[in-house]
Amino acid sequence: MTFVTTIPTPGRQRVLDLGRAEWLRLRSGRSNLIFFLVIVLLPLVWCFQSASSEQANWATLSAAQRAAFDPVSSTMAGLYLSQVLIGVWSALLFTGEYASGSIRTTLTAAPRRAHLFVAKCAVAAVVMFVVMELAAVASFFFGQALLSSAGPPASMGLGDPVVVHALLGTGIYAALLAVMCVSLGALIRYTAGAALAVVAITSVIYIISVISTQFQTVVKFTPVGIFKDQISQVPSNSQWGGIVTMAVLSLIVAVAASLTFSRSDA
Amino acid sequence: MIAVEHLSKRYGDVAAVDDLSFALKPGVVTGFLGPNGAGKSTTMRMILGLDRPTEGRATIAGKQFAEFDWPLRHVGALLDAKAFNPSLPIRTNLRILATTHRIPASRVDAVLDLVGLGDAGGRKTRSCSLGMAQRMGLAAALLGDPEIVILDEPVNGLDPDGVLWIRQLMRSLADEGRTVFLSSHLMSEMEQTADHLVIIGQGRLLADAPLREFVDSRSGHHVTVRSHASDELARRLTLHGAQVECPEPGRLEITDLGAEEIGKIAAAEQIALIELHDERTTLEQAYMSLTRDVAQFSSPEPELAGSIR
Repeated sequence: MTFVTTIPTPGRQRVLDLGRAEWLRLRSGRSNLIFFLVIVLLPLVWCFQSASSEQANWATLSAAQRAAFDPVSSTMAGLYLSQVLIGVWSALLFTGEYASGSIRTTLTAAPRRAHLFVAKCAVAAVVMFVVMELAAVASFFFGQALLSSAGPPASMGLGDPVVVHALLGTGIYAALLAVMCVSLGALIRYTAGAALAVVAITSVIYIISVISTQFQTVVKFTPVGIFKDQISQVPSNSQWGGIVTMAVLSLIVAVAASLTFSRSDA
Repeated sequence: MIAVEHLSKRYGDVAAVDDLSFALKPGVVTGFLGPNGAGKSTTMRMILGLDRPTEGRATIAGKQFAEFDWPLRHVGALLDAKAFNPSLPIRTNLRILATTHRIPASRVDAVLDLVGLGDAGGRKTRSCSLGMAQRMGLAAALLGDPEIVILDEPVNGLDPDGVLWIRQLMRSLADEGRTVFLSSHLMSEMEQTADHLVIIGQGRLLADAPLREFVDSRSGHHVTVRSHASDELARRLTLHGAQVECPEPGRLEITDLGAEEIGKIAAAEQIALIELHDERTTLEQAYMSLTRDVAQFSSPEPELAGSIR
């Protein structure tokens, strides 16, 4: 029996090698593409709903209410769903590997676990930034087109700094959320538990804040509260301040997950 | 070369692996034997850095597995056959592994051909039979052309052709100077494949010896004879100093006297023999006698099997 002997490779395995492998894994899964399409297209359904209800109500609004109308959040609110899906998808990067048992094969090829962790986070962050930007741009311009076609509510464009902030902020938020949720997946290991945690930080917290007013100050420092600030004209917190908070939160969860992942049995 | 030194793994009060030490040599197929739950898989997982030892260490050429520049080029492992993404094709799963080590796609095709999956590369991993999954796991283990191959129950689920093929593959890998470490609880299979044995029970080392030496050391060597005049033959043989037992009418089991002498005595006495058979101890018998001895001398402990993992 003869073996094809491979040419020795110089250097040593780097995070980039693992990133390439993760990218190949991601791009080979057909369900990923479907998932990304849902993330981009689902918010457009909201645009229809929003535009038609705004137009119907416009005549009945007072001058003060008209002045308070926020065309950015009214067109981009569908992205609330996208960010929940982005979180769930990211959490699956690790829980999926634990569920199938492929984590053991992956770890024999990438035994330096911190490197593997960084590679997965990086790929998720870049991919989710792009997907969310596509979703945000599609949602905003489609929503604006629907609004302006019927007249009353004022429409905005890329000339407005608020719009640029909103479009950029949602993308950066998505990248940071991806890192946080990849980390949650590595910490929790089980799909159901991790998905529950993701749904909690990306939506349930917001519902609680609607019910309990005392909770509203805390919500500003949670992912869903930070997302809300990204698509609002009148932020409850400064928009970039929210991004900084999100970055700090993601970093804390990521460091905890990386340490746990590196030390525990696979 | 693999060196396992005072390796222990405890889950709470239960010791899955208990102060285990042994070394594996290149060019040799080493069989790793022990009942279910003895700690074979846990030991292999610790060698590969998947589980952290509670105490002790396992090194490969003096290094921990994670310290190699390109780990798969030194150690290839098949732990459980279905440890791949089920929704991806076989070839894609291997390409992902190859990418982590800058191994070209041509090598993926070469190992798929080697394990007989050359035409099945496009099949979804989910749809593989256990036998195909074992071959796929082997392909993954050989991907980096490693000098050490670790296989946990590789013949599981293979048909007789596959079992024979794996045996020849192990042999040729060892003949090329590689270190081959494979676990099994199939004694007959191990007897035909392994040169050296490491036997553990309840996480402890029971034996570490060349297979022949181990079997011979536990040899309850005897000769079986069948004859219509077995009573007469038994009397004659006893006079020549043999220990004779009669497990059933017409059949004798004789120790302390060789087949040749027995034949001569029977001829001299003009007793017709129906069968004269020199029984060598099989690995299975040697293993059973070893585990019996261990069970006698070990204090009664809670059963480990099943509670691990």
